[in-house]
Amino acid sequence: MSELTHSERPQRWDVPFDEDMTLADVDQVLAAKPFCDIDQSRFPQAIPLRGIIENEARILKYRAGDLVVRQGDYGNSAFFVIKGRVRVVVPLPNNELPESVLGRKLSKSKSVWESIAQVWKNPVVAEFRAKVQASSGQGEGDVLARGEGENTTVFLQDIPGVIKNHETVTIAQGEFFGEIAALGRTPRTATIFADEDGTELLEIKWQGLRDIRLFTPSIKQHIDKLYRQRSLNVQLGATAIFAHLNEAELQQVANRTEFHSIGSFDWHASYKKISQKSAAERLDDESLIYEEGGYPDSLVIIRAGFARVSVLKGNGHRTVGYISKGQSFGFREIAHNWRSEEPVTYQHSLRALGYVDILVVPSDIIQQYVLEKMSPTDLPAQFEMEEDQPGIDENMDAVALSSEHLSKTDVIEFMVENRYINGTATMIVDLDRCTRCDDCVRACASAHGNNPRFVRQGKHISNLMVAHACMHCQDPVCMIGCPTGAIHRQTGEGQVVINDLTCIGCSTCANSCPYENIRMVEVRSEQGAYIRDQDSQKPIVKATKCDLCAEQIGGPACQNACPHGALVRLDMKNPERLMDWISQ
Amino acid sequence: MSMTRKRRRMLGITTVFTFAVMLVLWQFDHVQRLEDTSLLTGYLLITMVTVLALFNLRKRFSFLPLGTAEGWLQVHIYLGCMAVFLFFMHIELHWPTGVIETLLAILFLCVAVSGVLGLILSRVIPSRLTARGGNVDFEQIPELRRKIKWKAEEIAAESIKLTGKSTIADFYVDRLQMFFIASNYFFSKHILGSKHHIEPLYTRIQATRRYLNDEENEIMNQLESLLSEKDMLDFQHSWQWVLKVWLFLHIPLSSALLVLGSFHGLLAFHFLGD
Repeated sequence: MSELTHSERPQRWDVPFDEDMTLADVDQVLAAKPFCDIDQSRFPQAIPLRGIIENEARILKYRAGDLVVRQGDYGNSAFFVIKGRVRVVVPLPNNELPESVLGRKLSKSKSVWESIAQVWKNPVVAEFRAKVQASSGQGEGDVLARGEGENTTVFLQDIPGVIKNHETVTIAQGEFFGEIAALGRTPRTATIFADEDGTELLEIKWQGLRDIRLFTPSIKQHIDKLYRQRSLNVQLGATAIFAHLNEAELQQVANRTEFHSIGSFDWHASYKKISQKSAAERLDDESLIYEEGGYPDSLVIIRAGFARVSVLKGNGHRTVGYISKGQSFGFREIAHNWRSEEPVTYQHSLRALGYVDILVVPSDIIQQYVLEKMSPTDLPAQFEMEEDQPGIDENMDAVALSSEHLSKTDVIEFMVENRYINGTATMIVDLDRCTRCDDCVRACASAHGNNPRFVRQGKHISNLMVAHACMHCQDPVCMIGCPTGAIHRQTGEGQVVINDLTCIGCSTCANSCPYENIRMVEVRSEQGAYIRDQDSQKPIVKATKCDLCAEQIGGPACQNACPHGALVRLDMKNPERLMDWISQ
Repeated sequence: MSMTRKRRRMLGITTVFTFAVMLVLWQFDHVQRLEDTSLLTGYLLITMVTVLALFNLRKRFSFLPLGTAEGWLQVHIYLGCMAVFLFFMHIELHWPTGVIETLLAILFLCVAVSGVLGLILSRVIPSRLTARGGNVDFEQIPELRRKIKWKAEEIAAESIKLTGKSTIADFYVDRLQMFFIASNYFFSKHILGSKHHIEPLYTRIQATRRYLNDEENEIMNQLESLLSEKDMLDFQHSWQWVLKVWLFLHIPLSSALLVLGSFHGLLAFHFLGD
């Protein structure tokens, strides 16, 4: 076999979103409002509107009651109603649909007795399942699903009941929905289902939506207006810097705030290739947001994703920290310049780690609404002119590490390079304390029907190892694309869990997880035989992973089981806890 | 995580020390009054041993909110130390004379010594394992060894095809093959820290290199690398085995101690009135 040495460069649209999208479909979409009003000459030749619709979109057909998106889901696409209408369950307190009808797992802890009984009730057979699919909907709370494979949809049976008992609004033909969550990589804010049979939706991938927004001022204005109306004030108000502002002041700040998406949205797909590169090459690949030495005219607040904070050292950059959702960059510099006659420049560079969504607030706004109202004691320390390696916004809960501790820098570099900073419950093992007794693995197995849900192996730096256990990421890319919503986050910022009954074994989540922390397993009967699909005779597979012992009353069994304190689950948003743990 | 390990250790040592001093004073007071304390110390001791043994049972219930195993181990260690003091108070620093009592004393000391040994091993070995090979799964070591052996044999056989000479293959069969086949080099080598099993092989490799051209030297480098890898796996296997096996000593002895101790307690209770 001859070795492949030359090939055409892969192109953006080599593989369309839906290969069944016909030219007639594209014509139909382009003839509908608002697409027919879009000035196609504004689009560059390489990215025509027709091309976007043909390659970045697909038409989905729904029957009445089919769930399109669920509140809390992550998605990377928006929807446009071509035909029919959809109904939104208004996200109000006590107005949510029950988790069970959304195809999610009910978050119910075991009782003390059920917990103890696991010791003798756990099956002997690995990956035993008494039931492998959602039932046909005979019982109360049963999940209803139709379709096959990736086209499986969960549906609501009692639509009149839902409409009667929940506040809902409709979205009619010609309207968009889901665009904010798609562009901002934020959870869907509401559950939406098809309201009538024959509803047709155009699903547009975020890349296509981004370009349409970029080259169509009316759509850009529409999306930006929606974002400002729905999310911006809430997000600014939740930021520590603006927490003391009243509504009117917050509105003033919001009016001057810009928002940008930087970097690659699909970072998880390319991250493994990028990790093979040298440190300098990796840094070059990361989109630079602000450069060390630039004039600090803006404060950056991270809305979603992560950014690397680095400082020049020799011919390279040293990572001194990272910031994530709600944290800021540049505050100390702005505060310094506000009260000092010797202005400083940005003391660090800020780069997008994969993908980052930022809010940019001009410095004069910060001065007017924040600094002038702050008591002198709350202000961040001024920079000393002889200071070699100033820290970053420590007072604003950003992550900063003292530069003189090389070992800390090493740890931070390791966590950033491998994107472990994404984890809210990252499993870290101190190999200098771990006796390899596997009590953690056994405890995990006993809490999950004798099936361990993590592997005590993983990348390590010196004596610190990050094991292959689900990290319950801040940015849970595994949740994107699950056709039935089986993988989901429990209420609020809860654990990422899988509903075994609605998992169809498509492996989308396992393939998306950049950390290889989701395993597909072939399920078995009580006698140990593989359970097979009636038609294809292939074994039925299910996605499995750590659920942080969501059903157990004692919390994560792995951490509780380690007699030597060698294993810990840590939220990487606060690396100081990791440092404290290491230095114990 | 709220208390540093150093502070925790200080607290533990202080508690044990305080307990020991109080115990001695209490014993001294009772001796002064010619009172027999053995019954009370005996029952306290068997209670302590029972609590110590519960640690092993707790491991089966890690999913229950029973406190962390780390906390339990700390209690186990310091309570174990207190039990040793109590044991010597109980026997009043005289070696027992009866058969059961002698057996019981031997069992207690064996449990205590194996416990201390386990503690030392669990503190010393992990960092040594990390320094040589990082995190190797014990169960996978035999398979990894097999793969290394196959790879080494393949390299040696291929060398004949590549170089047209059998120098390396002959050297492999004469000098290296046994090392790759041997499943372990335990006490005599890794546990005692000896290099006698591997140093002569490295020396022979160096000596053989003078007969090799560049291409053959490159092949020899590969074999040398596999040699180091196999040695590392043997090291990992030896020490991980030690870490696992000491528990098989400590736990059965503890169980025997608990049973015999309870029997001894029952006898003492039975003859209480005599």
